[in-house]
Amino acid sequence: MAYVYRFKELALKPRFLVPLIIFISLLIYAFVYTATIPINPGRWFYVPPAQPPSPSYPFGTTSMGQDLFLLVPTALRNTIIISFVAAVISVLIAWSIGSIAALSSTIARSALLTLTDIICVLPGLPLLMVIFYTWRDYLTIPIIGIIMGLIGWGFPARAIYAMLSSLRQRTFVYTSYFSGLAMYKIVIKDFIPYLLRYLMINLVGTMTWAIGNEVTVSIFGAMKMEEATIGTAIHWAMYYQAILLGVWWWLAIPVAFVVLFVLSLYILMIEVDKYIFARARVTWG
Amino acid sequence: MHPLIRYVLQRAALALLVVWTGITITFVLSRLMPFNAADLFISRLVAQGGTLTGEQIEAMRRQLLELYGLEKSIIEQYLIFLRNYMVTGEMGPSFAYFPTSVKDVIAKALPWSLLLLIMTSVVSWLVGNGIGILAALTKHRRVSNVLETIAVAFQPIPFAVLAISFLVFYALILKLPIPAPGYVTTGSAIEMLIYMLRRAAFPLMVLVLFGWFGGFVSMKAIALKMREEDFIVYSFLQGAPTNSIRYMIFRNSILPQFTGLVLGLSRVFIGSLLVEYIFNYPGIGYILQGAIANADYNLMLGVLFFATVATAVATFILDLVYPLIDPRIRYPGQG
Repeated sequence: MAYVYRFKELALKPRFLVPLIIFISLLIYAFVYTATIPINPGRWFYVPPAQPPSPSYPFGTTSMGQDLFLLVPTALRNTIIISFVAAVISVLIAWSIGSIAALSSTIARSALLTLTDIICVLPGLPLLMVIFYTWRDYLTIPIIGIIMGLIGWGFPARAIYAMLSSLRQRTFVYTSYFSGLAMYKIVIKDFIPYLLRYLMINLVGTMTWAIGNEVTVSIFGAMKMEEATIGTAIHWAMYYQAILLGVWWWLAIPVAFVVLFVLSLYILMIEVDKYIFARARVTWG
Repeated sequence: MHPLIRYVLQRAALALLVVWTGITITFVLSRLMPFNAADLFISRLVAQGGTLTGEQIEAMRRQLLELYGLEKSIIEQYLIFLRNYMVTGEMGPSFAYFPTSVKDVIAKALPWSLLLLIMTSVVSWLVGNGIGILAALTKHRRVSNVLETIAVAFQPIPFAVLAISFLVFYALILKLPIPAPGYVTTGSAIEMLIYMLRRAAFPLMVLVLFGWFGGFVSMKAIALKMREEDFIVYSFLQGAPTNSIRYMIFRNSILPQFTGLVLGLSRVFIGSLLVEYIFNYPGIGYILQGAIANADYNLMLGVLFFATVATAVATFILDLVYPLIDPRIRYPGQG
């Protein structure tokens, strides 16, 4: 059944357009705008401390004299880099392990699945805390992401394995095979649409997982605390009693930005999924 | 061999494997540290402690060297480490709570954490699935759609972010006090349990408030699909009473959800660590924060080990309960 892609319909849909605009402006704010900041926004006392939001400081300033309008995009940029690197690494591992497990012999499969089970059950958060805290002097933002990726591939690998082993036995794959379609064509025409879909879902899922872990680990203080990330911003706000002193914007602004980012990313994913993989939905039905 | 026994043995082996992996990772981490933890510890003790005599420090040093066993070969060190963690439970002194040992610090915090963890997983699973099945069976479509929109909007947001937003809301807008740290030990066990439940009520509320979305969304989807299954339509056409049809839908939709209870554990665990710290609940999360603030590596490694054991045991228990619910595991190959 042919499916017509109506791109205009998608692009004009408010449920797609609004998150897209938010997402792109967040990316511009985090990556383009921060490149123009002449100073290190993590430094202390370059602006008057604890100023509420006003025309000259749109997001207010912290008790340590940091301008949140400069600090928050830098923090957001670092958090996005961490989560993106983590997502790429973990998806790479999950895909290799999952597809090898699905396509290999019984012994290799059970070994790989046991490994995956162990990774799923191991408590990632305390492990990350110990690793980050012990080696905090040697960490850089991409390395933080890589370490998270090395720990967080358990559930995606399970999903990939389950999907591949069920795909191999689906009727339409058999139909293609018995109709004499070449193997590479089966892979391209039958497998790739499903795989791409899971690739996107995995990437977004692992990104939100990594953002959550980054924030949690930083709130506990087990992170390279000099680097501005969303989590460290929240940590220092709590450390300097922002709530008690009534400096609510110090906590609220980073939280609002990370919520906006995660939500817009998530809604975009759902809309793109609905649009591109409508064909997959038809066959699921 | 009976398939059920094989299943239980497999699960037990997996749990043991997880614990062993956890210990090995802890060992590797403790040996790869970019400094000598024993020396660091001694130097900090000496710098801090005017109250310690020379013999005490010497005893401590011997204990630490025994614990870290640095002069022996790496394999011997590993075996000693395994024995210390698995058999004697000796994990060295804690610096943050000196002179209490890591074992005692964790043993004191563990009941608090377990209470909160178990209550949270069960309550939020029950609440999520309960609302989910009601939303799928109800005639008030608008209410269930509003609930679903809320759940879908909240679900992707990391728990830490939700907890912090709740803290801002709670402390700044509602202007309510955050519970003070520490706890009292009252007389009998019953009184203590009541006191613990009272302390746990608030963190539990926060965790459940943000913990039911996942169960709700998947339960609603499954139950809606289940309503259209052939066997449900068939019993409807047979004229089965509405309540028994509802029960059939419920009984069959809850099955896959049970896996969610297992998989949700790690999420709940992360959440409860954070909530314990934010709301001063005297559990593992609270001592973990103390360990990090005081650079207490022994305690951190101990917490890591206990977290591994706790999740492995919890997963194992849930795996054991699974055959009671899913007959396909009791009688594989027949269904």
